[in-house]
Amino acid sequence: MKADAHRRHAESLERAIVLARPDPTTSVAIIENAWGAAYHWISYGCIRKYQQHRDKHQGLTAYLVGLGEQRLAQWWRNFEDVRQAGFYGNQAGESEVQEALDLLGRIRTWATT
Amino acid sequence: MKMAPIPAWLDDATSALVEETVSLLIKRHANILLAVILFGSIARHEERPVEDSCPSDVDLLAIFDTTDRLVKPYREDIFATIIDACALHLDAPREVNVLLSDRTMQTWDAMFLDNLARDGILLYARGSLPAPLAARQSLQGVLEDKGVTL
Repeated sequence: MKADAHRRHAESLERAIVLARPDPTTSVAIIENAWGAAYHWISYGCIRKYQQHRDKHQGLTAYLVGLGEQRLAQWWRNFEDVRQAGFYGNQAGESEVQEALDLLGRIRTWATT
Repeated sequence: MKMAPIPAWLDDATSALVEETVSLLIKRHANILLAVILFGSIARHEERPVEDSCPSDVDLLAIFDTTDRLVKPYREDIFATIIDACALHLDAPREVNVLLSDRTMQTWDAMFLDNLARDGILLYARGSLPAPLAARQSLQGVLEDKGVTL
């Protein structure tokens, strides 16, 4: 995918988050969408800044560290924890949603500035 | 307090990354780190090989001495530590995922805790394991069998 396509995907996922946000039963969906949007913002930012990106999320942490983007890698790793904890039955409540949205905001800012 | 050995079936580069990750967590967060447990397909030795297009990740659960579910306010520093370890082993073919847990472990699914107690490999522990794990099959004996002093 090209940079603009990644940006459009990210923005579409973010619109879905806005629609889901008033419903407290959608916390898992919000976290999944936020994680997906963050991945697309990272791809968008990598193409803009480095003219390259990783087309899958596996190995993305090491890839970002290899680019010298340690802070971004840290945010991504943090995001993976918030998301993956849900796979193992850890509850996704308001604090997890807020953490995911905070990380998404930081990643979007990195990608677009 | 020392680490238990990394399973021998893990490749050398990933093994070095796991060891670095756990060592740095112990070194930098000794006052709050209670235990590190290897779980998932690698612990069960059912992992997809590194030659696979999507090799299995290494899954670690790090338990911290806090009741905050998201392990705040330590969370950012802990992930900085994990990334520092990653930066020293970029050649590792497997990714190391570290899940953070508070010491109550109350929000984890019972089935996950059962699997953790059954298949988990305790790499590090300081003191007793949290009650939800101690109440199940004891992982602590596994660690003591490996000669690790708690």
